[in-house]
Amino acid sequence: MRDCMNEDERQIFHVLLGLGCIAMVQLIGVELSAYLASAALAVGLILVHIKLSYVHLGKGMEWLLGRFERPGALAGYGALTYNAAVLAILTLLSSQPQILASIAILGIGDAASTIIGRRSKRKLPYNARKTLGGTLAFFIFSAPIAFLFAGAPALLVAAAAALAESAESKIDDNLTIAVVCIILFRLVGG
Amino acid sequence: MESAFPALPGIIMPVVRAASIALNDAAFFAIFTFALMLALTWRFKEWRRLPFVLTALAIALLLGVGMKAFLQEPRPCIGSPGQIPCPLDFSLPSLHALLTFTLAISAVGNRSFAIYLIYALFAAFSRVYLGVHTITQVAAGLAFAFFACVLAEMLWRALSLPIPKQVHMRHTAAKLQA
Repeated sequence: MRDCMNEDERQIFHVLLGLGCIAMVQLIGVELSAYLASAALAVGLILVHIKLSYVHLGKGMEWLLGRFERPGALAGYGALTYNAAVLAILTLLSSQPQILASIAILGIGDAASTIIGRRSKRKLPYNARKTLGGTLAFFIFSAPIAFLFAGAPALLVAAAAALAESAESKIDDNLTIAVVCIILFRLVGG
Repeated sequence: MESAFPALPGIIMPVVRAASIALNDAAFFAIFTFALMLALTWRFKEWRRLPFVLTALAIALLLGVGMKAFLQEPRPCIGSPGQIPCPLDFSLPSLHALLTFTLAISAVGNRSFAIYLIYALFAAFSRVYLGVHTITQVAAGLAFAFFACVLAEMLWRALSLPIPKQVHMRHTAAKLQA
């Protein structure tokens, strides 16, 4: 139960990061946001390197990494993948509405699927690790916000991202979702 | 001592310019990068991760060339000439940044990381300095480098090869049921 609570906290942090990224793009624009995201990724790599070198990062940073990383995961890895996914979206999509929709799908959809999915019982026929509730929650929570930003094509992208997230994959969901958003938004135009 | 500082940019900038132009040449870039890789591998005894790094570099190269062909973004120097003649190929993502950041990311947790990171940052800076890439295109190289390392690990696992111990950043940890 405690682990479930920690996971909920992680996912709420995930949503807040997504909302923060959306606000950042709205306030300072795509280009400056991409600069900030790349600087954050470089700093993140340095912090993970320091952590791997068994150096104490300071009480606050250690608490943050421990609090928002899954047990057994490399400290800070989740934040790094999220950052890399956002950076890929910011640099590879050229339309701001599509960028905002992609960040909404990444930030809100993935978190909603985890929070609801962990409480659902009905497993997906093609992946026993994921639930139908989680996949539906991904779409229901992310599609309306994505639609507000990028219109009807965003519904298709949100559905495809929900399916991609539900598929059996050995790589981090953040990266899978970002790739799906980038490819589909590029194909539908932008 | 004080009089030395105003002269510093005058000394550094020609060196930066010469190094940037040298790195722009694909053959020089490849030879220099490979030599640096071998030197650091020998110096820090990181031989075991060399095949994995070479795989990551090959994937990065394929990914970069493929994305350039798919995205077809023109060079920023086409409209406004930069410091060198504008290259003829597309520009997104920056291959220099992509390859050097792949080296840096795959070295996280190793003693060679700092040197690779400095090299990658300089390579990225040089592309923008020469006017052949925008900062965004270089940043895309950084994002793609992360993806290249993930794909290299996936390939390594698909081939049932053991990931070398010196590759510290594993991309398959802590999956969660949802």
